[in-house]
Amino acid sequence: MDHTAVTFKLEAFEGPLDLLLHLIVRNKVDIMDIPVAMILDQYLEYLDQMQEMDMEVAGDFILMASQLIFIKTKMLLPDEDTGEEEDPRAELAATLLEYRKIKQAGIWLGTCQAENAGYYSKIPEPQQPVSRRYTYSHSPMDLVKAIHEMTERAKQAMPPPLHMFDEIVEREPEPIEGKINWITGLLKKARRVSLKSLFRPAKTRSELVAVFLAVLELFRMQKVDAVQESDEDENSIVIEEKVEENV
Amino acid sequence: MSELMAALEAILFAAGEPVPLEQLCRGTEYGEIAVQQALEQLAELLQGSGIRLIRMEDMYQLCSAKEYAEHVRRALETRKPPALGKTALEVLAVIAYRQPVTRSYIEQVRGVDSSYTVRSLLEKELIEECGHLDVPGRPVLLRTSPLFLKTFGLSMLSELPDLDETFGADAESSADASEPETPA
Repeated sequence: MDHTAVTFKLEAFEGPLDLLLHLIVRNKVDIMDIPVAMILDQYLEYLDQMQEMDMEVAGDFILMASQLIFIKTKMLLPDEDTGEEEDPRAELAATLLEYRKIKQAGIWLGTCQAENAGYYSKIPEPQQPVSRRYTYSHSPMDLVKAIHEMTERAKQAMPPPLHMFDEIVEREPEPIEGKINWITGLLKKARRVSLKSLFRPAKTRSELVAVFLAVLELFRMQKVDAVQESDEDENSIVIEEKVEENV
Repeated sequence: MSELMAALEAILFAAGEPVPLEQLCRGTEYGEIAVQQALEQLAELLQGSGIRLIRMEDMYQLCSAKEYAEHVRRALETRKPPALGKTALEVLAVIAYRQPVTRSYIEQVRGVDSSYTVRSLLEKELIEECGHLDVPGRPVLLRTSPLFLKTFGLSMLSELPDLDETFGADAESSADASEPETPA
């Protein structure tokens, strides 16, 4: 065999099996009876060319080379057991046959693809119109009805039943009422107290909360007024007794 | 055109994407046989128009006719998408004929790492994942998608030519061996 004449278009192969098939066709040999030594030489020559071209020889190609060498060695060695041993090339032949079919199928699919290109379809109608522009028409009476229903509902709305709060407000460790009395007492004496000072004596968080709620309650009952004495200092808020002048 | 045919046409037009037969039956309140017959008639009727009704297994879709692809492209200024390369076609062939398959099976048949191509085919929606193989590692199983059928002009997988009979030819230069007819 004239090895030196072997030239390949590099990169033209899909993998080691593709290269092997090429060599088999080129040398007009039978897949079921591959002259392993000859094919191996040509195969290695291709790998050399790849390296000469500074191409990275893929691991798959090297793995196949080692398999070919293994098969070649096995064939050179005389059978230790005289038993009917399987042809060491059988597995490779089966792999090559399957690959050849797949390769042909791939070529066929390529022609199908070329012949069937150009079916265009539209994207589905969006469930939500892209513009979101409303498309129905209504009577103005629908609006009147909606308002009517809304006010009816508001009238019937019941406050949430008290037992719903049972777990949240199981006990009142610091009665707000006591704090209200305490604050009004302070105001009776001093007329005005700083808001901050009300919180100073509190020892627990719930006491703080109670004081705060008491202040709010006093506002709600319109018993007190708040005055911020300095614009910059938010600590300067002062509570004073409301003067009931407009009663 | 019968009312059923017209209704089917309307549904398929609005859907754009492939619609399962079952959904067409639900929409028209007709049985499968009646709907299938009407679809066949509709497909025939559309032959004279710029629209085609194509089938992918149990799904149906309206598309512009490939004969006018050039006109569509010119008008909408779309570029012709790149066709699949040799590698992608080989990987697709393994999946199409041996599905469902694992990635490692594909590599075994092709003798070369194919994970990049598999990923690209998944992105192109030509193949899809369909569960796991019940072996250690539970590798993902892959199969072809409805788009695969459409891309290759097939109505169903059973239209693929027999692998051994058609592509198992002994001819040495099998690449030039008589090729089977491609579906229109």
